[in-house]
Amino acid sequence: MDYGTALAAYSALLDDLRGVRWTPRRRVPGGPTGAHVSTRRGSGAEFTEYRAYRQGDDPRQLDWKLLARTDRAYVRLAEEQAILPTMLVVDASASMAYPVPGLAKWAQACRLAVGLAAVAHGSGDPVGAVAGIASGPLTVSPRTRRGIIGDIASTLASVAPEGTPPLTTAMTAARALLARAGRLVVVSDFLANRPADESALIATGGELVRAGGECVAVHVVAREELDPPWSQALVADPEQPALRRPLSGATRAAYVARFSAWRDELSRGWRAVGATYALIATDEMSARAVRRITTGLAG
Amino acid sequence: MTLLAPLYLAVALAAAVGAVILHFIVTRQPPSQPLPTARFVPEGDAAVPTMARRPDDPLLLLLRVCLLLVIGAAFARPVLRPARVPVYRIVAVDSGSISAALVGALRTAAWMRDHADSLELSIVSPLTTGAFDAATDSIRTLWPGAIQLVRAAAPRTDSAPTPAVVHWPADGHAPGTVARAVPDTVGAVVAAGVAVVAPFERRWRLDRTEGRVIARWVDGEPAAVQQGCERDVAVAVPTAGDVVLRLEYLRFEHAMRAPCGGTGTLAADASAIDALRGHGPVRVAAHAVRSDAVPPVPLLPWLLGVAFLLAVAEIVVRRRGATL
Repeated sequence: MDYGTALAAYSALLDDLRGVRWTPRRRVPGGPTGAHVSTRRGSGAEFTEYRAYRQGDDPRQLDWKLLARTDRAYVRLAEEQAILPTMLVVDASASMAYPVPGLAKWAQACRLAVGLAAVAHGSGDPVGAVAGIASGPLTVSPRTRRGIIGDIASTLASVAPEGTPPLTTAMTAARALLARAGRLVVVSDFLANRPADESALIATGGELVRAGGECVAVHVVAREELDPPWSQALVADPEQPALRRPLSGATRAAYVARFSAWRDELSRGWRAVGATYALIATDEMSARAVRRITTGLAG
Repeated sequence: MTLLAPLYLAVALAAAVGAVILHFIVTRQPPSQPLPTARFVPEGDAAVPTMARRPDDPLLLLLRVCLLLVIGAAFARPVLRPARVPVYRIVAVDSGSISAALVGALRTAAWMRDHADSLELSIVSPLTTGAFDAATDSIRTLWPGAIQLVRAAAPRTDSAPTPAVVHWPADGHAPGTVARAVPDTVGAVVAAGVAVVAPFERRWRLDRTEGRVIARWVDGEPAAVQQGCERDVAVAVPTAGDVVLRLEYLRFEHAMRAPCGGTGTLAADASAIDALRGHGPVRVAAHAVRSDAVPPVPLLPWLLGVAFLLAVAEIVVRRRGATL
């Protein structure tokens, strides 16, 4: 599927998100000139303040007119602006292929990924994506060119969520594509088959935050998971076929309580390392969810 | 057919209903649904009891229901009885002893209590003094209701009979008898047209040659003679067995004790007749009559046999279903 056709599926979403900007939560590290305020100060176009000349400063930064009038050497300081490379990691495990039919979780994850990529790209940032699939991470390198959103959309359209690929592999690949620090967005249901995987994800996000970057955990949850529609059913985990449990009136309350407690614990884990955590249900408007995430009002 | 213990059949019926319900209750796994968050559902038994629209094994259910019902029917002790009539009337004709007539009527009533709802007893008798004896009152108490008395003929009251003097060998060495050198046994004695068949021990022999022979042993030897109004009896009263309770013996004894000339035609007094008639309704419920006979249960072995066959068939069908 070419990116034009793939983008057509998201045209309404992209229209809704036109003009939305994704401001970093803090100054971005220095880098190529972009739209975000950098931690560096120097020769930017926007003057901020004077500072007494110190040996070693670039003489070109001296304010010669001020030196001529007052016989004091000052250098002009200006805000530098830089880009914030953004990588989206999309979980494509079997648990995302839910509910059947419709695959609302996967569809919502793709819409969120494309929407967030479009918003980041609109801010002038290079964006890329990594889909964690069973055969290995499927990567779209971060770019600022116009067609990158279509590339991401077509890449996600070519993916069928299945198997139990470890999300840590995709996240590590995405982290490697962010040169030093950047923005890493993980779109997943975080239903890892091993508790160590969940811890590794949070640890990777924490390492990025400590390096000056940003990490956003977007937790996609199906409405059927929050409120199972069956009064009596034998539920099976699509990633662990042997795991079959009876869901009935007696066990429903315990299920809801356990699931809620796990979400709270997951949220605390991400936030403890400085990441942003957002819980998005499948029935939430994607554009609204993207705004919630980009404005920092998520969760 | 009557059930002697119908409660067992009711219990078996209830058990059969329970078996039917149990056959419709099946433990099935509910439909499997994918749920990625299934790990948060507590572990438990996945099988859920549900009501099936039809039983899994109708043949097995049929066998079990039949088995329970047959066992219940067997324990209910069904008996086959003839049709019961509303009223069964017993007419006893006194042939010299009201006690004998009462005994015969009681025997008939005991046999007929299972064939009728109620019983009536009528005694046809001349109601003379000779017809009553010491056992009459005791036997009368065995009949729970009143007795309808029908006087057969008016007793003669013009000539009073003379009581006879009877010499029984049991009184000791009766006059007119001599002890036999070797006692023997004879099978019967006949008197007044009544034959009493029993193993009589014959220890005396009549010594009197004159007089009228009123009783003879079965071999023709005189057993009792009467001269005037005095009688010599060589028949020893049996002390073992129920010979003395038989109607024939009572008649024999009555003939030996009958007065001379009048033969007991003196009318009994009114109090004895009233006591015999009794009080209360003539029609009595059949079950009020005492009966020591245990009703037969002819269907019990057949039903148990059928139950055994059904149990074997149930095992075969169950094992065959398990192997399939």
